[in-house]
Amino acid sequence: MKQVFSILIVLILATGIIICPVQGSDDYSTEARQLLATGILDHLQGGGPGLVMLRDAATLYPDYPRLITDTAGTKFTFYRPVERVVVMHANAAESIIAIGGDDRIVGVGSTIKTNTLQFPGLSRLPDVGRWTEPDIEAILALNPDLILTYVTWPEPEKLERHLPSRIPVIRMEYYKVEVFREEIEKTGRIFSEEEHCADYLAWYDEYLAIVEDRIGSIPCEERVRVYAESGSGQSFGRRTYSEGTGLHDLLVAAGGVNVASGHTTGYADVENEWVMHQNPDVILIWSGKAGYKLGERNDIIQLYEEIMGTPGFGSIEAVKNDRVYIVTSGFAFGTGSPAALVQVAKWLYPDRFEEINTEEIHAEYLERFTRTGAEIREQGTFYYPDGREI
Amino acid sequence: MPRMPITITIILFFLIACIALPATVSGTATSNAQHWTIERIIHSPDADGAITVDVALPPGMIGGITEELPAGYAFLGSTHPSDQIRADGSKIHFAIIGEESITYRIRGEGETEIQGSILDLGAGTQSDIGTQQSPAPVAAMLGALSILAILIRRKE
Repeated sequence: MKQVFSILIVLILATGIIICPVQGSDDYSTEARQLLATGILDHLQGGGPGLVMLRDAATLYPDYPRLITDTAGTKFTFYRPVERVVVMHANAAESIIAIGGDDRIVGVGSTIKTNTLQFPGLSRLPDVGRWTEPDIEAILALNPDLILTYVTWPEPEKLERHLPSRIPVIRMEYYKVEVFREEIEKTGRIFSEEEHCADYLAWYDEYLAIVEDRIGSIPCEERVRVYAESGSGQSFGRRTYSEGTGLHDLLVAAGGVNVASGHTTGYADVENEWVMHQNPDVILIWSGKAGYKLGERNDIIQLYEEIMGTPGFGSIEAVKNDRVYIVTSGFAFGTGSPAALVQVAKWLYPDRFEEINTEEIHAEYLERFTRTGAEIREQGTFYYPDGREI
Repeated sequence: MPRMPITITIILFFLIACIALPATVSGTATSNAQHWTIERIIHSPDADGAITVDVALPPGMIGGITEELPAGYAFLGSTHPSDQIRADGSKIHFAIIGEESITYRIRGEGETEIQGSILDLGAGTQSDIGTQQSPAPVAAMLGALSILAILIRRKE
C-alpha cells in the first residue's frame, strides 16, 4: 500500500510541475531576446531574415542576435558571426587586424591592396576598388556578408544602391578620436572577437590614462602652444590643422594648445607671417609619407628641413629650440594612436615623461596588434626625429 | 505515528487534485514536431465568457507558435511577454524563447476549435498542432488511480 501512495504522491508532484512551469532564465540578454523574438514574429508573418539566419541565431542564443548601430546611425541585426567581409579602407583593415578578425576578410580596397608591408596578408586578397569608387562587380563576386567603409565615402548611390539588401554596409571611420573606442568595441562584437578586442582596448586605455594622468593637472596658461600643419599651403603660406582635424585632437589630447584654434577651423592655409606672429613653442607636422612605406624617410627629413629653413622661421621659439616634430599617418591616427599620443605628450612635456620609452610602446603595438614584419620595426619611419642616424 | 484513514486519504487526494488542476478542462490538442511535444488545453468559459487556453511547451524550445482562432472569437490577452506576441486578424503569433508555457484568453461564440502551427528552429520546420480532443483528462486519471488504491487497500 505504501508503494501505491508513493506513486500517487509522485504523480501529484509531477502534475504540479506540468501546470506551474518555471519560466526561462533571466540571464538571457534582453537585447538578444527582443531581436530573436522580432525575427521569429516577422518570420511567422511571412517576412524576417529567413529560416537559416533564425536557426543560427537560435543555436547561438543568447550570444546572438546582436544589434550594431554604425557611426552613420544605421542599425543592423547580426544573427550569426560574420564570415565574409569586404573592407574598403585601411583604417578599418588595421582595426580588424588589431582585434583579430582579419581571417574573415575576403576582399579589400585598393589602398589596402597596395600597402603590402602594412597588410602583407590582406594585400593578396581580391581588389574591390577605391574607397571612393567601389567595384560593385568585384564585391558581388565575393558574396560578402558585410562591407565596411567610411561614414561618408563612397556615397550610398555608389555602393548600397547597387547591392542586395541582405548585404549590410557598415559605415565607421576608425580614425576619429571621439568615436574610435566605440567603433573598436562594435567591431569586436561584429566579429565576435570580444576577448581580443578587450586586449587591444586595455592597451589603448593604459596609454591614454598615462598621458591624462601626467598632463591633466597642467593649467591652461602653462600648456605648450603648438602650431600644427602638413607642409606648404595649397594656395599660399602653410597648411594648418585646427579644430575638427585628427592632428588637432592629437595635440590637444597630449596637453597642447593649438595656436590656430579660434583663428581657423579644419584645414586652412595661413601666411608664414601669421605663424611667426603666433611664435609657437612647438611645431607639429603631419605627413602621409613613410610609416609603413619604406624608402620615404628622406621625404620626412626634407619636410623637416623645409620648416627649419623657411625664411623668418628662425625667430620662432619652436625652431630656435629645435622643437619641430613630424608624425606620419601610419602612426598618428587609428589603432596605433596611443603610441603617438605618448610620443607627442613627451615632446611637449619631456620632464613629465622622462622614463617613458616611446619607442618600446610603438614596437609593442607593431608586435601585438599588426601583421607587419621585422623590416617595418627596423626600418620604418613613423615619426621624426626618432633618434636614428639619417 | 497513527495511520491516516483511507477515506480521508482519498478526500485529501481529490482536494489536492482540485487545487492543482483546473476543474474546467475540456480538451487538449497535441503536436509532435520533430523535436517537441506541444499540448494545448482549452478551458471552459469563465463567468465573463472568457476562455483560457494553456499551451504547454517543452523546456528549452526556441521557435514560434501561430494560433488561429475560430471565426467569431477575439484575442483578449496573454501572460506571455508583450514583445513576443503579435495579433494579426484571427491569427495570434507567439515567439517562444525558452518559455515553458503560454496562457492566453479569448472570447467568442461557437465551437472552440483552435488551429495551430509550430515553428521549430531546432529542426528548421513548421508543422501543425493537432486539434483532437483529449481522451483522458488528468483529473480523471487521478480519480482512477485513487479508486485503484482503495481496491488494493481492501484486498490487504
